Parts: sequence; structure tokens; C-alpha cells
Amino acid sequence: MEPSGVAVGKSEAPANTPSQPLLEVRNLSVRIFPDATRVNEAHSVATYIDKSHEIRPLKGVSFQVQRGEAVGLLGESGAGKSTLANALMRLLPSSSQVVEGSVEFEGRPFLSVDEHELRKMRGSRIALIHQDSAVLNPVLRVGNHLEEVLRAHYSWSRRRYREKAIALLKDMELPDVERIYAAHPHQLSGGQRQRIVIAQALACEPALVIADEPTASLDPETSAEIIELLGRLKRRSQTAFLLISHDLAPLTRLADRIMVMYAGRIVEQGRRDDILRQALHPYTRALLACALPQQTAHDTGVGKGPIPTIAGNPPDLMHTTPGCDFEGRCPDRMAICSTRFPAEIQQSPTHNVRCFKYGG
Amino acid sequence: MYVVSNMEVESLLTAPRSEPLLRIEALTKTYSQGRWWEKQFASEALDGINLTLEAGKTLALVGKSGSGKTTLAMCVAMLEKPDSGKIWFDGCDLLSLSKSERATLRPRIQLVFQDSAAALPARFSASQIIEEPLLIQDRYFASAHNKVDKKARAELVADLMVKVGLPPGWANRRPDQFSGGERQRLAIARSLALQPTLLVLDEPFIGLDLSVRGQIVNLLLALQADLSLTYLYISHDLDLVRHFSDRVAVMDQGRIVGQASATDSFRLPMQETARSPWFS
Repeated sequence: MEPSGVAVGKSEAPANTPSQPLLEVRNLSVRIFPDATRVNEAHSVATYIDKSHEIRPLKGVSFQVQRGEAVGLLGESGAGKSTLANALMRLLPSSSQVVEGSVEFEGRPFLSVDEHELRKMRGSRIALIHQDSAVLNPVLRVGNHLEEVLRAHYSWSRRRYREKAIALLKDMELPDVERIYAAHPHQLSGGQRQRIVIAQALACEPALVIADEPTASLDPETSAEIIELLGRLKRRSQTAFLLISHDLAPLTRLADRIMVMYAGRIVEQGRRDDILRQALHPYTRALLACALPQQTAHDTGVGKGPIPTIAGNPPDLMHTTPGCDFEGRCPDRMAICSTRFPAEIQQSPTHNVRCFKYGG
Repeated sequence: MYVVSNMEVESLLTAPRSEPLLRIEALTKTYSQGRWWEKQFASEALDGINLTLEAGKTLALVGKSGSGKTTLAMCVAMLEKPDSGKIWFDGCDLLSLSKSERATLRPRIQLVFQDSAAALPARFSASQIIEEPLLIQDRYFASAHNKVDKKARAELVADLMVKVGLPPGWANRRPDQFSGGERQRLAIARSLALQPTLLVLDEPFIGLDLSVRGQIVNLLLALQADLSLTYLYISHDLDLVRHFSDRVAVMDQGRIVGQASATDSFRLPMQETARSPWFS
């Protein structure tokens, strides 16, 4: 279906020149209203809001995603990853609000697109993979789930919907496609359900897929399989991915670029190898040190012993300081760190960092 | 038939020979699948397991999901009844105990689960969670309103909270007011309340943030050195296991397919998927 007005259709939007990024987020900040009694229920930490405080889960986030690129967003719980995903899908709960910044998607100001346009864009141009396959409707069959997405965006014959749904299931490398097409979600395993959620997101070949911890609810082997599958799907399609994770492993496998998020800010971003091999920010380095020794243990033959950690806890969003959020846990702390937040420094054309060690 | 493993030979060579804390001999367990109106399928969860675990050491059980790791741990924790075989714990055969003997032995084997949010009762305060096992086991509970016992319990709870690195002032908080790592510390404090000798750790580090995971690993290592605890540690992740255990046993389809010391564990037969994907 070709929507009227500005080019948002299936064909490559002609308004976009190759140099223009698919998604450009500038200085995005989100505030949670203090009258909401409880937020973050979906996360492991439930936060009780003091009415005198306001919470800013996102503080001036800026980044770009190019067409066909896979960008990883690495952050611990409470860093604002899911808030960012919801803000980009315009799915923020009513207690939250974008207070400043802009999101430009395919050359359009996405935050001011009206409801009608938004319905056309969601699913067909920008789609979300949820972390939990509980989003599937227990009374609908798998086929209905996929056809529902297709029906919202195309006017096809019934047979064509079915063919496309079967093809999608095959793309997800599911066995016994006809049986799964007719199955209810509860009859499938967790890994199979997650594949259905991915198929839903990819059904209309969107330009951008946001995957919010796509493997969080799965056991390690199934999650490795899903990561492999996403890698193959990414290589095959023109779709750009924004992969959100608290763990390095999926990002090292899938991401072309990695952004590291801490307390609502992107503290470092660069190409995958920039981050993995030449990390600059003390937080990124500490995080890598926590993850790397296990990976390299068999090279050095390290036996039983303590492993590196970052002292302290992830930041408390309710008690913000004017300085750098990592200051309290940082091994390289300086006097200037508590005065203000460092500006973004470009270390190389592909590698940016926010830390006073490199200027700021 | 009892098969002499490498470990047995080692311990024979290094005299004097001591009885290991835990010895599992030819353990089998079969689950039958399929509901009563369906055809029954038998799946062998454990198929002739032989293992020994020395006191004060850590044995890691590594394997894919469905390989029988958790079933084995549940048998050791006396939460599942195996079909045949023997489990010797500190000289007692766990499977031929009477009900009362089992009840007295149970506190010595404690469990720490992977999902601490689900394993802690949401409406209990931290101190209630930690003292619950004491109340169940009738320790410090001669009379419920006895002030002396109450005070002793409160002291023990504060002591345990300090031991696992939680401020004792947080005793009245509920689980949802703790972060993921703090909740796991709370679960560990509860498991230590009855002064166990063997802790069964079922993936205790899963779902924790990277920076916090190391803190819990180091806490458990320090507690082991401090209280001479023995750990049976279940994991998917061969890489983390190396830092945490003395010996590694790999399970596949209900059998032990390889055993080695932690430093040699990279030689073990292991499915590629069990390693974390890294640098593709």
C-alpha cells in the first residue's frame, strides 16, 4: 500500500540521499513525571519516586543510524536502554515525556508525526522486537499474528497473506512450518516464540528494527541460536538494527558499531573494534575487564581466583549530581569530574567519548 | 559397577585418604513424559552418574539445557528421588534415611537459585527472609515471643547481612527495594543462615549486570575461604566456570562425558554453543 503524501512507502524513499542517516537522534531527553507512583516495574529495580524529585532516564542522547547498519546499545540495568527504545517507537508510558531533542527518521521529524501517519510507519518502516515473547496473544494462532501485521499495511488476497506468513516462518528457520502456522503460542518453545516475535517485526521489511534484549528471556544456548539467526537475517536484508543489550556477547557478534550507555547518557560510541580493542572511557574499559578475563582464560590458563569488578552499584537516577555520573566508581577520577558533565570528544572519525581524560 | 575415575586415582596417590564430602554412585533418574491419556515416553534425565566432591572445593556441572544438571542437583538437595544409585553425603546414604534423619540433615545442604527476584518472597522484609529458615528449623525459637531468642535472631541476621556485604540497616527493606545484585546477596545470606556445609548454586550469576556479576563471584569465593563451604555449581558458561571452580564435569544427555581440573577444562568435550559467542 502506497501512503499518500510524503514518501513513506515500501519503495526506497527518493527524498533520502545516500549520505543522510536513516535515523538521527539529537539531544533527546526524557523525564518521568513525579506524580507517577512507581516506574521501572519492567526492570529488575523498582524505583519509588519521591515527589520532590524528577527522574531523567535519558539525558541528551545523540546518535545516528545509517541504512543497513547494525548498531549495538550496551548498558546495565537502569541505564535508560528500554526508555530509549520506547521513545524511538513513540511508546513511552503516559507518565513519561520527551522534554527536549529531536528524532529524525527517513528525513522526517518523527516525534511530531500524527497518529495516522504513525500507524502506517510502525511495523512497516520501524519495528520493535520485544524482549519477552509474552507479547503474543494467547488466543491467536501463529499465522494470525503474522497476517495481522501484514493486513495492517497491505491489501492482499487471503492466499497471499498465508504464503507470506509461511515464507516468514521458513526465514526464521523453524521446522515443520505448517504445524507452527496453525499452532497457538503456548504450544511452542521459548526459542520458537521468540522467532515468531522476530518474524512479526520483519514481516513488512522495515527500514529499522529495534531489538530490545531479544534474547533476555531465553536460556544461553537458545539465545546463541537466536543471535546467529539475527546475524544471518541482517546479512540478507537491507534492514538497519538497533540492538539493545546488557551483555557484550550478542553485540560483539552482530553490531557494526557499539554505543555504551551509562545513567541515561551515551558515554562512548565507535566501531565495534574501536570499542572492543581500544576502549577509552573508564566505564567501558572496566566493563570489558569484567567480561574479558573469562574469555581469555584458556589462553593464559588462569585458574580459580577473584575476577575484576566495578566497585559500587549502577547509578541511582533519583540522586543526580552535576558532574559525571560514573565519577563515584571511576578509577581515574579528577577534580573536574564532579563539576560538570564532559562534552563529547571525537578521538577518531568513528570514535567519540565523553570523559575529561580526553579533553571534554 | 563402580568406575574408578581419574580423581579417585589422584586421591589414592595422595595419602592419607579421606572420605569426600559428597560421593555419587551410579545414579539414575527417569522422568516419564506425556499426560495420562497420551503415550508415555521415558526420558533418562540421569544415566549412571559417578561423581565425588571433596570438602571445601567447588565442582562445576556444565552442560546444555536438558543435559540433567539441575536434576542431579535436585537429587543432591533431596528435592527429587532418584530411581537407583547412591548419594553419600558426609558418610550418610541420603537415599536410605528415615524422614526424621533427612530433616536433620537437610539444613546442611542449601540452594541458591538463578532468579533471585522469584526466589524471595515479595512481601517479606530482608530480616524475615533471612530468619525464616531459623524459624522452620526451630532454632532460636523456643518460644515465639521470647525476647532473648528474638534478640539472638536479630543479631544473627545482622551478622549474616554484614557477611554478604549488605548494610544491616536495610533489614526492613523488601526484595523489590534491592537491586539484582543485592537480592542475590540476600538469597546467599538466607542460604547461610543454617550454617550449611554444601551449597548448591544453580546458575547464581545469570541475569546480573556485568559489573555486579564479578562482585557476587568474588563474594562466594571469599565466603568459601572464610566458612570452608563446599559448592556444587551449575552453569552453562564454561568460561566463567574456570574462575570459580576447582573441578569441572561436563554433562550431556544424563551422563558425565568429561571431567578435569579447572585449569585443564578447555580440553573438555564441549558443544560450541555452550561457549559465549565472542569475536566472530
